Amino acid sequence: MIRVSTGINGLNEMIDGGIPAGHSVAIIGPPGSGKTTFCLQYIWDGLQKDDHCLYISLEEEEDRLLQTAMNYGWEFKKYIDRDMLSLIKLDAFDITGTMDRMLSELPKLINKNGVKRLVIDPFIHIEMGFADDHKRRVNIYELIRRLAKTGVTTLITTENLEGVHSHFGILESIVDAVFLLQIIRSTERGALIYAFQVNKMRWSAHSKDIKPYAITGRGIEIYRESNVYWSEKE
Amino acid sequence: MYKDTAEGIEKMLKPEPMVIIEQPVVSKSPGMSPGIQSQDEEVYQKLLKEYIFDKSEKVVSIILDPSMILKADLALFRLLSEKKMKGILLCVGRPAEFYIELLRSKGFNQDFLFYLDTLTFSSPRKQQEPHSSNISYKHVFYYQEKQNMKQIPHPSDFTAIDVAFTSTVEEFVCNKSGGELFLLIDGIASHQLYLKPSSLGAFVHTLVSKARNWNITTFLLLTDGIDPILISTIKTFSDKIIIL
Ligand SMILES: Nc1ncnc2c1ncn2[C@@H]1O[C@H](COP(=O)(O)OP(=O)(O)O)[C@@H](O)[C@H]1O
Ligand SMILES: [Mg+2]
Repeated sequence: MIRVSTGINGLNEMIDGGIPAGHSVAIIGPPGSGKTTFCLQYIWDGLQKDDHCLYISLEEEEDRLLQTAMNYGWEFKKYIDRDMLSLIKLDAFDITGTMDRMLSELPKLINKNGVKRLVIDPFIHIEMGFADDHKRRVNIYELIRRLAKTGVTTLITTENLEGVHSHFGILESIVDAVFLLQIIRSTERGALIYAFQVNKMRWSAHSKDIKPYAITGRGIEIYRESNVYWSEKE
Repeated sequence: MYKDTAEGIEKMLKPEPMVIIEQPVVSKSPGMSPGIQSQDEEVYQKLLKEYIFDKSEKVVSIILDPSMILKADLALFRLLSEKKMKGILLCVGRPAEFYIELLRSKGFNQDFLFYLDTLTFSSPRKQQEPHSSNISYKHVFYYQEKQNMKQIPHPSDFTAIDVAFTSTVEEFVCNKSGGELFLLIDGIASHQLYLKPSSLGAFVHTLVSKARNWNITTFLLLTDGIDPILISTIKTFSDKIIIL
């Protein structure tokens, strides 16, 4: 089985070497937990390995995203010029139009360009757009199914405010894997601890542990050899 | 590394690094009663007698009265530097600056110690250090880095302590290979303020186990103020118990 490296220091060792090629991964976390950073780092890693990459942004404009990447030292511009990377901004609030494009055009584009790595960030706006849970589930299921057929390895981010489930609790049951980013407020002082966990990963004997991580000037790093402590005092 | 420039200290140091002076430094300790120095020597001799360095003893608990902590610290520093060991001092009871000053006043070459300081990061300085312009700080998410120390925001940031300890050991193993390493935790009693005894016990146990995996000898100072159940738990995973 081919496994795709995440590009995140410390993570590949937690997931049997990488994400099984062709699988979809949900990244769940609150605002500021590093979901976009995680995705950019995954794309950067792919570009270093000559993988064609596609980034569907449902929030940040293209040039803004390029700046965000530059903040971590990743210069995407030259890869766009060489047709290795496409950044596409879609309107998250035109739910019908955007969902149609993702269902019909996206798989075609992936096949045509031989895209190996795909990011959809943040998916929460699409999830919000459906009238009810049934429509939400059917559409997400269909999207993931069509992406899986192309063989692309996908990261889809979604938001929660806290805890271990996404806002709607649907995405994680459909995708192949779930990475959870938590920002824990230690009760003693209210300082933030960032904690990473693999909640699900099909075809993998993954780590069940919760590990501290950091967002640094060079992206995300997971401290696999350290532990998360809450300082609650009785 | 820390450079000692105070006048007179150089003369008192032996030319060889990491060895401390043999003569008591009574003249450098104004205000100290003459008896203190001999008490220090007494604790050191006692420790020397009790602690026969054995590579298989990786967790050493020292049981003592709270009033003896500093003397025990000094005796340990002396013993360990004589054994050419390098080590990490986790400062929870007192800040790193306190130990730097103390070791300076006792004429130690300080190259053998690296500090994980949980007490300085967020407390205002009483005054700028004269050489502070040469000090570069590097902020590394969970801690701040300064020449021979990592400053952790708060003693209750156990995750940050673990991350800082792990990275320090990795640096030691990578850069300063050779020689035995030790870890000294100066304030399990103070740590109790932030974590209930059972969680603190778990924290100490995992930290000590990690040190053990890396072949590091951990010294734990256990005093009266510590929860008796915690003390007896720590004793169960100690290889050597010394009563001072
Ligand atoms: N250069 C940097 N150094 C350290 N942390 C940074 C840096 N740049 C951004 N961050 C951290 O990353 C966070 C934003 O991450 P982001 O990936 O946008 O989160 P999300 O997409 O989950 O909302 C900021 O709140 C900040 O904590
Ligand atoms: Mg984002």
